[in-house]
Amino acid sequence: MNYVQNTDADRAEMMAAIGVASVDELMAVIPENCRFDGPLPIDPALTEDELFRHLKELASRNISADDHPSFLGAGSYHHFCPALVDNLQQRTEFWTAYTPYQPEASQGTLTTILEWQTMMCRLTGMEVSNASLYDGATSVVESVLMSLRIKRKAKRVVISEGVHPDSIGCLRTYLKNIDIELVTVPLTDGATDWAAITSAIGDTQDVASVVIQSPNFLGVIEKVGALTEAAKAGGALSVVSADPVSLAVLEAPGHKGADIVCGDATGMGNPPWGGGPGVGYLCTRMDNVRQVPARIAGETVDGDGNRAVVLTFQTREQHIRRAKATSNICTSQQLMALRATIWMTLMGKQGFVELGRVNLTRAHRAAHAIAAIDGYELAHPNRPFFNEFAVRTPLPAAEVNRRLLDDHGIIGGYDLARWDESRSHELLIAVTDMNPKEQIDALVAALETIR
Amino acid sequence: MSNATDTPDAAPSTTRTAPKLTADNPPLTIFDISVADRRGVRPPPAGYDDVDPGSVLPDFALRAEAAELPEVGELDTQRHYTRLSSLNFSIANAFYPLGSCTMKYNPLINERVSALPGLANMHPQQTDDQMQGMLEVCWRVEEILKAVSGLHSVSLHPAAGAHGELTSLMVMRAYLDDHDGQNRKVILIPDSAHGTNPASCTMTGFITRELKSDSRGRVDMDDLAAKIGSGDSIAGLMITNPSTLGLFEPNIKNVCDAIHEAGGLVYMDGANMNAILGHTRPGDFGADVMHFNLHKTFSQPHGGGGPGAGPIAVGENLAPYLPVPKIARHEEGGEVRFEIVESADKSIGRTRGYLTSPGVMVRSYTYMRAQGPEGMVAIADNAVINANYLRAKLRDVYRVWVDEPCMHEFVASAKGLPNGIKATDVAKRLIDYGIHPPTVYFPLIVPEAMMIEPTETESKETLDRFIEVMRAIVDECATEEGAEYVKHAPYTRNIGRPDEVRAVKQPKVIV
Repeated sequence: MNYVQNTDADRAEMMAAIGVASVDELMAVIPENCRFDGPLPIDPALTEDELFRHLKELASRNISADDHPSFLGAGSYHHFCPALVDNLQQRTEFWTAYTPYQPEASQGTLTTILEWQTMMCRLTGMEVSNASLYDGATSVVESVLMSLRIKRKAKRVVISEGVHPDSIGCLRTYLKNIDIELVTVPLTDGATDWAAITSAIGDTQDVASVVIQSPNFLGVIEKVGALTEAAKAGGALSVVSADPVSLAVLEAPGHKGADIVCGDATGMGNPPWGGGPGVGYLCTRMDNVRQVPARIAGETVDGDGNRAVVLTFQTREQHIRRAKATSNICTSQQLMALRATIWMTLMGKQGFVELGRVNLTRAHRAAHAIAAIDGYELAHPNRPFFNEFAVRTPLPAAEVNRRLLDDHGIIGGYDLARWDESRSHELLIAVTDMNPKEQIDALVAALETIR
Repeated sequence: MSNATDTPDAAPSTTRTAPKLTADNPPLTIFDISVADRRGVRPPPAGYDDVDPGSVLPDFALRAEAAELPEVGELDTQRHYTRLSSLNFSIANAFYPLGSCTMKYNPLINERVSALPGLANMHPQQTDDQMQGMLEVCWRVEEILKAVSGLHSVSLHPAAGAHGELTSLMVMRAYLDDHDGQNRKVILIPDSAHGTNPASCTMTGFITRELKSDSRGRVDMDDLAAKIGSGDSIAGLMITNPSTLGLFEPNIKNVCDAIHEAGGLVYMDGANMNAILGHTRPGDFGADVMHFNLHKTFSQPHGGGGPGAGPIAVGENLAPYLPVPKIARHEEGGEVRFEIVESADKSIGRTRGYLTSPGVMVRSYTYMRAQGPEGMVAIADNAVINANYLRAKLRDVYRVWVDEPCMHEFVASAKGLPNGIKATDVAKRLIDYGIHPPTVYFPLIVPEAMMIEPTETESKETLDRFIEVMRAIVDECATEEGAEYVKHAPYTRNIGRPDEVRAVKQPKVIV
């Protein structure tokens, strides 16, 4: 079963038209010295029915949030997704289309990109957004690379240790090859300290950007305005990574002086999918538009004055500029961005705020109840948070998680020992609109027995 | 005339009433149908007394004004996006002979399995023991990619083809640095290469030097020798084989040998892997590292521009430098266990969040398993037959740049068509006939290029109709009048040719 439609007769007719007797004659362009005389050492073909059974069996070996309450976040959050998002995304005209390089044949996709850009700018308080990036981690990298294009003489980048470890890890990998120093600034009681940032920047005027994340990896809401001010005072740009759902209740980084706002938007209408495909975003001010990586859609008109959408500022991109492009990125994460766009539409102006407040309310009620259990306490009780918080546990967090799953069927929080070995007795717990009160009650009841 | 050019800029984002929509002014975006206080889907209730944000958050954190997201009902949302979808060409409604993009059929079984709840709702921070099924799918993809590449190890980490290139170059850099090759900075790239190749080099600190193609579109061996020179500065070669001209490089082994002799590494761009599956393996002809485009060769849907995936395969020499996280398989007493390895001594580190995109892997895995060993060969055979059939039937009216047996695609030129017709005109006219245009103006070495790739899944009838249409367009252009008509195509879409200059000069990138 390989989805080829042509029959032997079709092939014979076509080869006669080509003027060859067999496909081997065509394949003779592959020189003898590099032929592979197969068969490929792979398993035999399966039919559609067999495929479904096989994959279903593999899927059944996973333990998923589908049938277990889950309090995992640490950068990826489960959120409610209306059925209409699936229905619309499943229109083949969206998911089997190619990149919209031919605008007359792609107004559907192009219009949704313009909508996405608009919505992301309105959430972040910015003026221009690209069409999306691979994920949150690479959005931080691309933001920093963009800052290096703007501050061409810079030699250093300052980043808070509150930024997601995958983002910092990626940044290290990317910067290694281009001779830029990455300076990390440790957290103070779970938050980034203004004075520490200022001293890391110093007065050498060689810092391209200061990167923070809010809420940060521990769920703590950073003082975004003060930190972007510190960056500006040191002659650096500020990059703020933000979970867009948190912007339902938290002030837009763009209104707090951020130069570039980026992050992971997967949670808006997309399942976490074990890590991907996800979707990242990047927004900035119009002054920086020519340094933005990846696709941007823009509105224009056709010859008759009809409104139309096209990909614009393409001279930034690799297919035109090649070695001098702003980025090597070719694709975006269009289908995930489309889902997010439809999701934001269905939430709407009011529903989005309500959803944010559901997260805030449940997380605070859960934090309060967990902190009241003997042996459990909030790790940073004086820091504000949105939908995630760190909790000190009486037993190693890994042990707490194991007992939660084995004895109570609950997928617990993120074991902070994975982030910092010294924090082996701390769990990072995310509570979202996907965790109704019964689940929170069950978690609290379970933790009461795990001491 | 209700001409958007004459009207003031669209109302600011805070407009509370929808603009008047008429037949001449159809809604463009969702914001055009937004009405104050209208609701879409209700989020779940908190289940607790609402916590007032002002009581738990400091003033500096509180949002002053709600973001102006659309205010549209559920039904009108459905109609809006259904209407938008109807404005798209897609594989499901049109032939897509888009060179280098391998727009093959996307089987629906792949979608069905990808939506299995046990897969879609996995959280990336779950522990290994909770995701054994998902890890097995990924490991099996690695094994199949090893088999078809003839290489030693695979990483599923990169998120897209260009990301696979970038990750590969980082792996090459790490290997060279580890083998006294710190001064090797030059990467040779044929002039027919994808733009992502040189762009990826720049991002990894390499210097690119262009290799000339000879008159038959192959690597010019004299130029190769000249550019290698003493070889001291050569880091490697990035080569697409089959090339973007759809031609298999006859000297590929010699080319790779020459790079290896100079102390460099060979990177193969696997964009065109569809043509050679089961017939030759990059590991056999000298590649040290390559990337796959799962969205081309292995039928991950293009999604209107992503998601893709760009796994890389490497020889044993480069394996220690592959990115982390990666998958390890352990077998003890008949029991198999998969593990995510988070760090490794010589690894370049991570280049994205998490292990991979399992949602893409499961689709491609399902596709691969539908093929089996014979199916893989049949993909290549039929892709090559289909491309050569189009070439044979079009070569008398469109100049085929290198008119020799091709692989999965060929490049024709619109140069010399009557009455100054250009590639873009042919492309736009094809739209009127319900066919997606080929890739145009690429590769850069061919003037007025039209890169045509039918893929293996198209039937002869579809190809015959394409041939008929392509010939009809040339006929239409025989008279000046006809050519003038074609130069203003398309006529059948909701818009004509858009003003792309205006989109840059008067940028409007948000509504």
